[in-house]
Amino acid sequence: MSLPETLPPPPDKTSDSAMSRRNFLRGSAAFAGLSALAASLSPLRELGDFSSSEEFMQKYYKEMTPDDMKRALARITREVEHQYGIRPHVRDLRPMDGVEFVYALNLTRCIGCRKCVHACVAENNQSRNPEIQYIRVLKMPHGSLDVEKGDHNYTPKSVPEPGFFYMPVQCQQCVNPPCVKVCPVNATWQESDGITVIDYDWCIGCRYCEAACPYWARRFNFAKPEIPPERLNPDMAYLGNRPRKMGVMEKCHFCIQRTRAGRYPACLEVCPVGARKFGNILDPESEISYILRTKRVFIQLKEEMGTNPRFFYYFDK
Amino acid sequence: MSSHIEPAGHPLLAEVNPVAIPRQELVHHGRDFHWITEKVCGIVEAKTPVWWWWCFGVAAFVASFTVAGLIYLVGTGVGVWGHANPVNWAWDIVNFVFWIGIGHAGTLISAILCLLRQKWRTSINRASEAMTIFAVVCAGIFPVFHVGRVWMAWYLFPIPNANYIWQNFRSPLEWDVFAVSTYGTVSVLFWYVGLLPDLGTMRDRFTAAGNLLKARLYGFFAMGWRGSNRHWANYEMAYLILAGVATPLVLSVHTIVSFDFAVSLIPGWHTTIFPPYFVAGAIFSGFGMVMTLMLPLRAIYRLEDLITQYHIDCMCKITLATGTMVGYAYAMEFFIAWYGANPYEGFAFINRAFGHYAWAYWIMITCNVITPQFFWSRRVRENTTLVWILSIFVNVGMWFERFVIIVTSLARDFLPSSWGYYSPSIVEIFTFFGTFGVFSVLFLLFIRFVPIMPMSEVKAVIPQADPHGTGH
Repeated sequence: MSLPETLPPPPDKTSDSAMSRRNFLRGSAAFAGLSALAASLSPLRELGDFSSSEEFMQKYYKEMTPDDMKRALARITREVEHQYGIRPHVRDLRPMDGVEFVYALNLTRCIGCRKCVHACVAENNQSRNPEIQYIRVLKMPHGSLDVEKGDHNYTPKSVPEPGFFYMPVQCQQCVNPPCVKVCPVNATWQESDGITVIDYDWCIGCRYCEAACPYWARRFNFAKPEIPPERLNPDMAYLGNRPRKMGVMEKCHFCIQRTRAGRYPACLEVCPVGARKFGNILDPESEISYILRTKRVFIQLKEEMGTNPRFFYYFDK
Repeated sequence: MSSHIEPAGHPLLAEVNPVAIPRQELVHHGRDFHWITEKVCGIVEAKTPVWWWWCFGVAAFVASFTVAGLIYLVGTGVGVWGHANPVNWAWDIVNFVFWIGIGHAGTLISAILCLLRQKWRTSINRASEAMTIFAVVCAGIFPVFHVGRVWMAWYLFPIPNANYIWQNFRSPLEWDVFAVSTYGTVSVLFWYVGLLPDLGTMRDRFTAAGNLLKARLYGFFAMGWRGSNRHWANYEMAYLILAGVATPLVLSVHTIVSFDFAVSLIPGWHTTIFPPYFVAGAIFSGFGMVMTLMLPLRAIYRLEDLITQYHIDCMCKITLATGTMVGYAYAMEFFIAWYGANPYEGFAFINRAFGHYAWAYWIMITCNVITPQFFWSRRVRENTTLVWILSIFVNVGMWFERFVIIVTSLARDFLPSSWGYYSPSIVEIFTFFGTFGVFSVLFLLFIRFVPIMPMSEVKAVIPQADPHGTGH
């Protein structure tokens, strides 16, 4: 086979010299794609709630030495001051020996005024927008104790409404807490004084604890929490009311920043009718021991679940 | 071949004279080794067809929804999905369970059917395993991104670290991490080991065709496969061991996924029937997806000689069997709710069927219980278009099953005061829709670059592979 004398002429390129239609379309497609990518990345600019590198490198709460804790508290102080312009007083309060906290609520006295709900929000630095509340007050008709009839969306002109009684529900601080069992990273645990706590620096936000809780006691920060700086409570505890970040779980912790320092929970102090009682059940002389011994203690909420709450409901007579 | 078995010495056999049931032909038209090689390799070697580019473009566009949705989610918070208290798990976990369920058929086909010596698996196992892997990829997106702080999701893995992160091994979510990652790893290994001889073939063919770049590439992944006797012996043993390792995983993964729900206290979740029910459902949905993918592939590439009516029959029958098991589980849930006399559980199931989400429940029943019953009919099984449409119903139904389980139970738990209603946000819908794009992109790349059938295994089931003609 012999090669042809001359090679065939190259295809006419003149029409492609500047920019062919194909190249133009390719270029436009690439440009559109890159612009779309850039546009889609823009929400990341809003994200101010990443963990700081210091928080990221922090040890697990139970493994922290006193020095580690001092550094962690200093970091939290700095962060809060930076964000809210208020220098907080952050402490790491440990459980006391010989103390097991329980709560008792007098259903005869409660008038459903929801002062506890708001005192709790003011004390515990919950997000105000959307507002997160730890306590829900159920309104129930007289004559039965059927929580199935409980309604937490009542809006009367004044309370108590005739024919109804009220039952506030918050974290029941179970002896056998289902939420602790399911946390995949041990970010929540029960302390020796019976309070189930959450380390907000450790929570990854999977929300399994909330799905596991039969009381709907846990609340998740689906959005970035917003607290007006003038509303911030500067008296904070590491496992208690320090400000949370987006994407972490929170719940009632019996006002750890108060109760471990010898004060009553905020919801108790604000209660205008003295329906709320709190104390150390291991002390036989305490008011709470007296109530549980002598009053008609009616229910632990959903006791058939085997969670064994440390939150009791009782009647005067 | 004679139509009767030889009496083989036993007088009883001579008396009864049983009819031999001829083995189903697994490759039609007496196709030979060469034809199979040309057919399978030809798909990879041919010029990229135009339809492939169109599909790829559309799939990539759809996949970008997931990317954009996830970026928005990370930047703004999980609240951009429709979750709220008390329904704090919804489409994220629904989609996770849906995709991981789809991932079950591949390993079932390649591992369990391999151990059971079901030879019809050969022409569909490669593509189903690829489907498994891609489904696990899609499944993995959701549990990772549904956490509130995705940059901390690595806390779930026991990685050596200075932070003293120590996972909670009592948490079913943690079991999930291990179940899914083990399953993913073993599936990839199994798929890859099965690919070695074919990658060797591709390398040799590209070398012969003078395409050295592709020859190098396939040669790299073929890991020096030469087809020697020793290679084959090691290969067969490795494949068998991996089949043995993968078999319990087929059952364990969805069992453990079901523990996420079964171990918690919520009515409608807290039931012991969940593990077998979830596994049956997963295989059901997996076969649905295999048929959704394989039937168009068969038509496009004219693979009727390799994926025969017998293969479709087998898949339809497995779908029918597992679909009926799922239907039985639905009935049994109701029975136990009544028989167990737990008012909360009773309510949970009544509410599913007649409550706010009844529409979802009846979609589920229609798609999962009624659809597979059509497969009793031979005429339906032989109508490929109808089989394909029914397989789509299976996919839809299984998605709704997970929706019903997860959302109704969270929306209606013990206390009426803790009730809510959930509806998805647009971001959530697009993120889920986009995962079909992710899946399609991966699958299209697979059919373009990887032989879609294990050539050596298909060749082993044709009569020419059996020179003595004994049929064993």
